[in-house]
Amino acid sequence: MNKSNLIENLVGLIFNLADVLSIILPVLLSVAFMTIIERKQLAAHQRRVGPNTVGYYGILQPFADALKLILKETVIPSQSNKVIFYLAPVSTLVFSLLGWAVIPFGQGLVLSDLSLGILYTLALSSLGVYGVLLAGWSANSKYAFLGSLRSTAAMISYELILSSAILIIILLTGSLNYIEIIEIQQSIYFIVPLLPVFIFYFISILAETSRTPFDLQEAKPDLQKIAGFFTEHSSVPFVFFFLGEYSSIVLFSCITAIFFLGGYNFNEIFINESIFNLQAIILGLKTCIFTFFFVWFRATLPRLRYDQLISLCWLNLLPVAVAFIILIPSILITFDISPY
Amino acid sequence: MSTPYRQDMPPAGGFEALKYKRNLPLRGPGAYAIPGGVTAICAFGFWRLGKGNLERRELEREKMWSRIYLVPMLMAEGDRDMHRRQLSEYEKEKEIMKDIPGWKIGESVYSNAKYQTREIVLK
Amino acid sequence: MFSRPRLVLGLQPRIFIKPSVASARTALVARRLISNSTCSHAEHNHQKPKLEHLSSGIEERLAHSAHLLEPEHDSQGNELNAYRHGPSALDKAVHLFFFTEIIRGMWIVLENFFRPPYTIMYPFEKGPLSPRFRGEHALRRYPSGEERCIACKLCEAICPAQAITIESEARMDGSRKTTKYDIDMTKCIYCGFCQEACPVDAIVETQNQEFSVENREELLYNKEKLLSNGDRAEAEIAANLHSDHVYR
Repeated sequence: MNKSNLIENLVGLIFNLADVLSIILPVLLSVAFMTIIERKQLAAHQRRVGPNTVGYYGILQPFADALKLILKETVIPSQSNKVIFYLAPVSTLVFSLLGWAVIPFGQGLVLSDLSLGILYTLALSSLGVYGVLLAGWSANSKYAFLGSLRSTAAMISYELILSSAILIIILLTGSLNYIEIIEIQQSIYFIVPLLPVFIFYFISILAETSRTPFDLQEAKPDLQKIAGFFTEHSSVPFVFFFLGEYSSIVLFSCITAIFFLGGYNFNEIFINESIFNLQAIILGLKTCIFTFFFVWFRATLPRLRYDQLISLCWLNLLPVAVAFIILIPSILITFDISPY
Repeated sequence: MSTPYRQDMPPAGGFEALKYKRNLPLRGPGAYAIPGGVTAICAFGFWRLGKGNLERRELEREKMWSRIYLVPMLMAEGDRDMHRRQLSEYEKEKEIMKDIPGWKIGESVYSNAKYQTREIVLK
Repeated sequence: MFSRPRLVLGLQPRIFIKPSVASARTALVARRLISNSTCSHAEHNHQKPKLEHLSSGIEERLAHSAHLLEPEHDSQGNELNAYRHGPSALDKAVHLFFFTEIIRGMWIVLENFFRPPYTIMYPFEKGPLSPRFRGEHALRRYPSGEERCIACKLCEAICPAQAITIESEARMDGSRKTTKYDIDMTKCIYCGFCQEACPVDAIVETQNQEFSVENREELLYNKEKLLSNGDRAEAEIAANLHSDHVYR
């Protein structure tokens, strides 16, 4: 390899890195603001004020929280498996951040336009379970272990429902590529024909991100004020879990916006030549709708019991999902409106 | 300023009876309206989706046939280009091999008179 | 009557409720108030003390189910349709599959999202305090400036936390006065027994609740500190004692 090639490769590497950072940094920032949005919105639902001191209206609260957590002492249980103990939070955060690689933010604005983008996302959401499992196991604490088993069982069960709902979208699109899914929704957003599917899709999303009706891992009455599988994690590893959790909320909101609200489509305006990328802003607004839903559900619903959680998945949602998997292609074939 | 003595007492006639029974007023659309509405929305959605899909199929078909109609022209262009390249290759070969007597320009290695398109086309 | 405006009147010496101008309220604000919202079930209705007819018709349904406990039979002895009064199967299925009850709950939560918060911004705004509130201690004086305390040590005797220490001496004019009156505020449990025991209303608990300090020594109050507390809050203490005197 000669010298000019080497320089070319180095420059290419730096540009790749800049590409990735230009996605990761805003995502991490949005995750930070997701925490303050959750606290403020929850407060508004409960007619409180919420954090309002740090910065204007408390918007700098997440940074104060993060600083506090980072300055805390990192306690590692002496009997723990230390490599896995550190690996678990890192893997949780990394797997939820990796999902952003295939999200198209606008026409041609995607880090990696995989033709199998949905499979990639599903694979990553399955891998996310490992962070939970490893954290519970490596801490060598029975409470962390119990918490991790609970969330693992819930996540694995509801992944089935999630995959079924996504399978229906694949049937409607005929493609596993995100951009094709977005483009086919120029005729209609999928939430309109797939309204019942959206209901159980969103339930499975809530379970997949371990959000409130399904957040058994932090069920206070049984696990006594120990925050589930990351009981033993403190300071920076805890921050990583926290970021990973909220990053997956934002990620799944974004994926929901792409699957059901047409991603960056907004049929009335087509502005792509402006300085501001309106398509990305539209995608962001649609994502906000679903993050609002996440917190709204948290403000409303009580936690399910463990057997209710599992039986809701396997006895109620799964038959409905299978019924829709049969119904939707039947409609497509009967009226001869399949996209291919 | 004097404060009259006042004993806190229950309201006249006593407190009202406690409401402990489940009291969920029947509100919102009824049992026929909800599935009917959802079906109507889904039907509209599938109608629009079907129209969009048919248009997509039409566009796909159009693209395919426009390519198919272009194939002869594209092939002719390719052949012409290949012929040009071959001639220039012969020129170069003649230039390089001018010192060697008995060298046949562009001779096939297969010693076969049958014409074959070149596997390798040099620039 | 135990209604809200009268309760406020009882606290009049301490609270000044600004009467809200009804004309300034827009229809929008009125809509956002809990008092006239559709989901207010928290308050007693004095006009109708009897249990009114429930709008869900649960009474009728319960009556029906009571009637259903003994199944009806026709002349051949066949059981009649036991479910004809209840909700239909479609009804139940729709409410199950479309989560109508959850959606109604979510609607209530969303309504509250658009209403103003109840929060009192504490260090800047404060809630009402009862005249019987038991806060920081104070020793009172007579209007002449003479200390009220006669060193009877009843407060020291009754104090369950034994936070009070008193030493006394006869003065030149023959009256017995304290030379030392210490309250250990780190021990005090704010039970108010000392002010109830006091025959001359000398030791009282004021309404001051914001006396946190940076070290424990500052919480060991002596006589000077208590007397200065009393001097500072004398008007307030007198008003509180007066407003409550008929009940003591």
